[in-house]
Amino acid sequence: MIPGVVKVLTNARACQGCRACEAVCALKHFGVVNPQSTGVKIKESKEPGKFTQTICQQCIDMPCASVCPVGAIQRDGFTGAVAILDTCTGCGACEPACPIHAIQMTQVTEEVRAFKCDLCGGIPECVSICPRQALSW
Amino acid sequence: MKGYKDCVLRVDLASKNITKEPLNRDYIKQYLGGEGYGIALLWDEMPHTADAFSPENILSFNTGPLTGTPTPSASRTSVVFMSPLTSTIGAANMGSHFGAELKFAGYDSIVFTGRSENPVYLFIDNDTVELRPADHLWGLDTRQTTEKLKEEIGSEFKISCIGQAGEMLSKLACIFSDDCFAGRGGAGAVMGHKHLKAVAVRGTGSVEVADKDAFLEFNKTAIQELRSEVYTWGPVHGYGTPAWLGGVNEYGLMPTRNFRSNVFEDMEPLMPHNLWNDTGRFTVRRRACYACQLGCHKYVTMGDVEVGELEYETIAAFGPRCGVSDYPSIAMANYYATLYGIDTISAGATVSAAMELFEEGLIGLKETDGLELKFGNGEAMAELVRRMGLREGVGGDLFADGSWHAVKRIGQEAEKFAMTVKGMEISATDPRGSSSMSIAFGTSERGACHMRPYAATIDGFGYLFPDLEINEPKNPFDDNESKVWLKAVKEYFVVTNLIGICDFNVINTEMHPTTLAALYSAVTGIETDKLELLRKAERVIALERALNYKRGFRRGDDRLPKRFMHEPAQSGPPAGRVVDMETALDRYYEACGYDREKAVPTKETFETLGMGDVYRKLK
Repeated sequence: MIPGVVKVLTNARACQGCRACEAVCALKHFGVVNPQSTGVKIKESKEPGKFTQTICQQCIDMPCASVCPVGAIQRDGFTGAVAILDTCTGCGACEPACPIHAIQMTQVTEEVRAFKCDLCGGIPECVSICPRQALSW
Repeated sequence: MKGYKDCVLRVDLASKNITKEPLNRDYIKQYLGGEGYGIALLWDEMPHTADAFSPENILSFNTGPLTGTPTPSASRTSVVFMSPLTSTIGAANMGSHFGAELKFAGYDSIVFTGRSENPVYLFIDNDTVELRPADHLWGLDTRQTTEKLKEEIGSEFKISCIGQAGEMLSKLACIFSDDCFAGRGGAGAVMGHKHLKAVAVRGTGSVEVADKDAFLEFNKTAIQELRSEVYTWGPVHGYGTPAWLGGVNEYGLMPTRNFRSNVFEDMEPLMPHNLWNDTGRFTVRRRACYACQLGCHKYVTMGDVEVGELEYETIAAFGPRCGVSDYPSIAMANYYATLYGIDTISAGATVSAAMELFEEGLIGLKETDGLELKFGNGEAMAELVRRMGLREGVGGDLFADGSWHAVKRIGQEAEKFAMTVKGMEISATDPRGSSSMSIAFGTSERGACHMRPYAATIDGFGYLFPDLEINEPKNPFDDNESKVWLKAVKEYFVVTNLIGICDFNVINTEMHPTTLAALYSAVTGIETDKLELLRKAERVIALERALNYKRGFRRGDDRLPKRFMHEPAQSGPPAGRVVDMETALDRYYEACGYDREKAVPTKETFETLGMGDVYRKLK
């Protein structure tokens, strides 16, 4: 895994664990708020008030893309994000291929598909909504 | 009707029967949801004079239509019940991540009826809902209960539970959810009486939004309104609610030594930077409720002691109100209140009353089990809180149900030292410094409460709120001034309880009612403007007053304790002032269209609200 440079940056010390980023991510991409369908995931550690942030690193070597059997994961020419195309069949091969578990298999509609941060096509909503600048751009 | 999940969980604790039903459409139309939904259930389904400690009492957990969305602070759950502390309606509102999880599991409300014979907890994992034995949890404190449940069923579950105080029916008992509390009015005791130890929920479903694009646009407006209010987005965002301590004291609004004074002379050690920067003794971390921008919720540790949330009301109650100015004592008192599950506002106020009773010689070492309960004795203060939480000893039992119930037991001479309305302790604002707060505390439907509304922002601190037609400064010292503006502010505060967001988004006039109405419309698809939102809140308040009326509450119960009418404020801007309660009540009842003696809406007001049926049942 070779993390990319242009991506959503995280600052664990600033995060307050409100999960507004999760909510707005799901809403932006799926039209509903769903805790299982977010490209950013906030988890509280055993120590109350300490949080981890998981979000795609837009890797240079794209380990997820290399295991996709239908070539549905590609670099987006406009944003530079590693994007999952609509041709995703939901086979799940990419999920374990991500070393930081930034891909979720979601099922908001009847179809199962892989989902992760795509930088919202340009301006990440999670960065806008984060009240702590724990996510930045 | 998006936003809502259109599913209410009915749990009869006596028969252990669990059913699901759609939302009552009339309730949504009239009362919107949240607190309003719970109150409508009490009105329609409970005998109006039912005792709080009877199986007839209905305890409901109600989310709002916005709960679970990314609207700032859309985390809220309104717990509604009849209060054992006040015998009025009980409505206690909590944050944490519980409410959003309940929505993700697929439910707007949980309604508990009846009483279980043995301790149980409610397990909710999406569609799977079970009442499970809780004998092994009974007797555990709030943190132990949460940890044990998470070990058993999974760390991702969100838990609401009671501690020992709720089990022992302390009328100050609250409900705990990750160091957030449905604090006031004894909701924890109602759970304890029902033998309901906890509710655990996990949800992986969706909250739907009718118009995503409109929502995202209006949500940015709401966030901008919050972030452009300098006090909110500066000190309060930084330190949390303790940022209020300095200003409230400066304006002469700080309850000091059981309201003997209104300015605390030793405030400097309690200024929030002295807590945060005392890194040798304390660690303070942010731990926000769901979707909250402000993030006032903090988690404090003191060495090995997990103190938990230390907020303005708690510090004011255990600090100035008891004449205490050291953080370690306040931290210990908060720790015990959190563990055993009692409301810190009422707990601090009760210790404060006990201290005055002790200094006045109305109780002695026998009643305090040897504690020198003098103002300023922080160790004794924290120890009494511990004993109250566990009903330990003579003093612990005497004060476990709050100051009003304690002075009733001590005798008539003691009654003047209970700083309560309807039996609930006044929170941390001295009404002599704010006419609107005299009315807010006096007329609050759940007893003296700082959130129905917190209006000192307007008449005390001088904020305007053009979106609520408040365009001129109000005089905090004039009880004869029109209070039409206060009616609007109160309704707006109640709107937040119906819709599922936190009062702290409106307390400094941040989020505009027009913006909130636009968000409600975008989420639900029900076109609504701000006047309609306020109207729904007005109906809920009217229904609450009707229920209180049926339980015998009248104008006389809307009065403050005599101290505020007879003992002038000691210093600061309100120095020398007393409250003219009768005039203040007249102005408020006029503004609301209430009958002056009955303290409920008049026939005309009820009919204007489309609540003629409620009026007819008042007879």
